[in-house]
Amino acid sequence: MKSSRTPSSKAQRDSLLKREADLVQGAFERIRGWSEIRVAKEVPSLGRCVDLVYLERGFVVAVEFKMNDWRRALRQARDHRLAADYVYVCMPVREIPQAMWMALAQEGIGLLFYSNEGDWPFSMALKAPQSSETWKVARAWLRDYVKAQRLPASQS
Amino acid sequence: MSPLQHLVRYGIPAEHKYLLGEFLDTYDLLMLNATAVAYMPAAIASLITQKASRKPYFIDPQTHIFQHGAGAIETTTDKGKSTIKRSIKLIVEAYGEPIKSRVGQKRLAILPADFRDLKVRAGFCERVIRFQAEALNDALKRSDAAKYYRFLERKKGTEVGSISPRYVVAPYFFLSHNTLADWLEINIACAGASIRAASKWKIPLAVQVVLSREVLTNQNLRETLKTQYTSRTRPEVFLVWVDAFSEQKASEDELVALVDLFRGLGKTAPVINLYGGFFSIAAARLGVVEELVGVTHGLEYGEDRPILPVGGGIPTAKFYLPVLHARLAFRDAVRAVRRLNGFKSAEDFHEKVCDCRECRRVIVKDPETEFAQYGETRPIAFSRRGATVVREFPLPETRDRSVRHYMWSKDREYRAHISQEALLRELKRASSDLGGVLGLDSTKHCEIWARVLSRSGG
Repeated sequence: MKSSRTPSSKAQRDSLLKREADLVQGAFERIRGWSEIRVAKEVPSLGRCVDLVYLERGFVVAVEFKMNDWRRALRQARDHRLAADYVYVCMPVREIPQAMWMALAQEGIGLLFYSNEGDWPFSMALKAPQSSETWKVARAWLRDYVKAQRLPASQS
Repeated sequence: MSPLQHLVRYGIPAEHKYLLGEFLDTYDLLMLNATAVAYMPAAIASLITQKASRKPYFIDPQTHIFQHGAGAIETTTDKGKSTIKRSIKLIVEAYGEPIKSRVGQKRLAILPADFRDLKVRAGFCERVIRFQAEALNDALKRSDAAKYYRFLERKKGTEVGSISPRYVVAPYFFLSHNTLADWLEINIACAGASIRAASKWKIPLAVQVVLSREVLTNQNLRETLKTQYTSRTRPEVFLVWVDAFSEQKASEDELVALVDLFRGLGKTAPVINLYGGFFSIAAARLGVVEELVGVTHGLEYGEDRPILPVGGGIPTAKFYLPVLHARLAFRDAVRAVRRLNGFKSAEDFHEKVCDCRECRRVIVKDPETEFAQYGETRPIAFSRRGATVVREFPLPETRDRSVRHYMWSKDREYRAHISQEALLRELKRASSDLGGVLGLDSTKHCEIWARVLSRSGG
């Protein structure tokens, strides 16, 4: 039997993807307002695509957005640890099952809740440790890609 | 025991450079698709006669492509019309009836009933064999080099301007669990009719056996297949292709079944695996399957292949990791190389990861940085479901390095000294060393291969 959390039809999956894309876009727009932070969305990295990457105080932070399939989010986020200093999964505010807390801690991935209020789009639910797996070349690729993106509209 | 034949499948013109020059001596036999031969006969004839120093070759007649319905062979034009792909139209013309009217004109799938008539079948087999025997020669006669060949022939007194395939392949059709009963008889009958045609051109006949994984693993069906082919056909060689059979993903039972199939068919004639990886190479070279005399691979994604094209997909940067005998997504290759301590120094990389010619050229001083040359990509944006999506595509030079590394790695697998004891030890070690960082899905095959190779006996 399918889990009630698993989208059963293409329409449902598309709707979820649309809502995820809306979250990514929302976070992107709001982070762009921070002049000292560079941000890019849909960033290619070692064959994966990171939903959102921002550079803050010299660190590379990768964020993977998911509406509800946290196991899938974790699988994708795990690969981002090769290229980023800090990796987060971002979801709408929700109850987090014990298994997810444990998996996040085990994988060295943090958790952000998407917030509709304020200038910053996230509230910290679990701080990510600095990745011990970062490969300097992939980190440089990711950083350079973000830096090469257009500056926020107000500054360009 | 004669050495295992290293066969390479020719895919697209861009692959010429990996089949020539320094790679020319790394393989024994070239396998060509009938569609490619029909589409660019002059280019392929020139490749074989001039650039590849008359490398032995044979042509896969690809007759199975007509049994799957129009969707499998059609393409959509810019104006939105469905039409049969040009390369396929050309072989429809060459093969004639019953393909021509059934597929070419009515756009229907070919059926076993279309071959029941002895005369129709014999004529079809003769035309399929003739295409393989003569298509490249015809192109040579029409080529700019034809005058030069005639000059050489007069001078040397021998026919230098003609080429013949090593084998001609009887028409064949795919055998699935549900269709074996329908197509097997036709395949056997085509093999019989083709012997007569092949003898006309004095070229040995190969019989191609193309089957699903279900047929492979179902003991009754496998026995039927072995019995029918070995008792009713007499080819020079069997060519085996199991649909979408990745040796890296295969279960132990599937590999045992594969060994059994090779041994069974091998009672009548030697066997060539048309899509195989290191398991097949090791099984043949260790004498586990003495009947297996050749293993074929392509240049990319070429160790297994589905019967029906699944579309091009998005090319991704991959690196063939010699200790796992498998291609890894580049990010996994980075993890594996790091786990193997290959980033410590160039010497460590060459000792623990790979010291092929390409890796010696690429990895010189700082492996952690230089290894990136096997994974460099460029982002390309495209639209999907109304949103802009960015994906990475390997740079041409990334692909070039990866293919060169792959070709040298394969050369070593076919030629380097191999001992059963050392190989089994290495396979088990690779699985245990890398399972933790890559996950068992990417490493377990080594353990399974070791078990099947030792269980099946050397």
